[in-house]
Amino acid sequence: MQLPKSLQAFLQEAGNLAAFTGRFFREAFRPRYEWREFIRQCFIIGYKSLPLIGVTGFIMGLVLTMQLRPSLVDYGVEAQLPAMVSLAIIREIGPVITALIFAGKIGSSIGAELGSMKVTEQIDAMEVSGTNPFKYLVVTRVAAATLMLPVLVILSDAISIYGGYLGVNIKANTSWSLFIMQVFDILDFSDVIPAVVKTFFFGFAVGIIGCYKGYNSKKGTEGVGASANTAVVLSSLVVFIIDLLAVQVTDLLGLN
Amino acid sequence: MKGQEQSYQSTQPTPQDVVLDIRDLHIAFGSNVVLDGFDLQLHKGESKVVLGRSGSGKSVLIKCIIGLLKPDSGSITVMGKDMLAVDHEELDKMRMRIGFLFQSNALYDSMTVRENLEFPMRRHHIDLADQSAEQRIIEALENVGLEHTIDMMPVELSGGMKKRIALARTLILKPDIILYDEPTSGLDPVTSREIAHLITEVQKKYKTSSIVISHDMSCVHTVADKIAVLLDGKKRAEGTYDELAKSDIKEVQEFFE
Repeated sequence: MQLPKSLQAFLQEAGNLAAFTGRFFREAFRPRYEWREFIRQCFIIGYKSLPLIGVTGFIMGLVLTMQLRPSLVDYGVEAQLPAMVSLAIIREIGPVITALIFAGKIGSSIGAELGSMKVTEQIDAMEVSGTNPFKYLVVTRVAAATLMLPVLVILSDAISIYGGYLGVNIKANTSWSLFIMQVFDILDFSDVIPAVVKTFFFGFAVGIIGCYKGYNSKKGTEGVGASANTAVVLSSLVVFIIDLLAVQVTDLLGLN
Repeated sequence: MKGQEQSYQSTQPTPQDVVLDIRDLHIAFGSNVVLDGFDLQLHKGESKVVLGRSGSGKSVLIKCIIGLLKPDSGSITVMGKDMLAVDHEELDKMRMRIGFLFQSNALYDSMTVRENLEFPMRRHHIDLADQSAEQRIIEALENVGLEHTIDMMPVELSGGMKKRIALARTLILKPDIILYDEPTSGLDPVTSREIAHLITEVQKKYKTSSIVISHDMSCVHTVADKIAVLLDGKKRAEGTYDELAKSDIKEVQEFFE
């Protein structure tokens, strides 16, 4: 039986990505470790994403609160606003929106950077300079993305909650201590831990897909553009798929 | 005559002089046979040009020499070492002795000129005190006449300057052999001539042996001690520029018209 061409291409791509991921794990735990480049990537991927993540997080918290208020007022449960906003941010909106912004910023930049390095022979030049380019370029970037996204999500959540506090205070007068007490009252470890754990997977997915697309970029500027573009599209899609799996797993573990 | 090699040997070099010996090299990508029994010898201090049409496998050949591609069969011996049998560590050591100038220069975009030159030294664990590392970088840049660019980014440099910096980066490890992949491609005729002269200057100053891949006949004329013509995956002719210009093989003659 002959499979349709598009399905064959999809399976081929999935197989190549799986092999690339396998190579990542083989190379990541074998010396020589590229600590210097890893730290540099953490700075670029983590620190330099902070302003964007901070601003979007703040707006997200503020807007969510303002949108939720009328419905809660209708049902007479306006007092539950801080609890609802914080639960929504911590469990779902914070991790997913931050991961999507991260995919747009970091996934595309990794895809474009490695893609242009590939087509201008910089990856080959590294190899002849006594460097394993996979370790130097891929392992460091994927590890940095995996570790930095959870940190960014935690910061974004905190800023979002502050945005929510300001949102509450637009039409009401709530003190910070009362607001934050209501937030911590509703939040439980079973809300925070699974939400943070899934962000490691989001970060890994964005890093590995960006690197895979860039590292296997086709020749020419069109190839580099396509790498950056498909890195963003694919990693955004995978973020949602991981989110879907994560909710099933937390449900099975009784953490919902 | 097709398929037979035409050779002009004016002097007989001794086998001890051979720094690079390629025998019966075969490589194919799927059904596309690129090298089909290619032979080449490079002698100490010699500058040999491999001439061939675009897509004839010239770049593939030098990528096989440096270990970026693995041939299907044949042998590549560099300074007595079988390059196809060495382990990874040994290959890295050999790569310190073989410089490679990439066609696209391959300067690292995210690094300054200084960092670009430092990179191979750092990666090959050449532990130089800060001052002598700096001195080596400045010396390499002086050799190509671009010491003022040390803190510039590659994006700020012209095509010719990039080529010179790439050559400086190749020279920083003081290699015994330098492989040049189309060193004048994409450059204007004046800059091409300058780069060709620079290659011969470097050759004399550092007493390196070199393989130059090119089809720019003006560059070939300037740099070549000997020329090997690659056609249909095989070496079809070898000799000096003047000898090959008089070749009776039509495909060889076409390069000199």
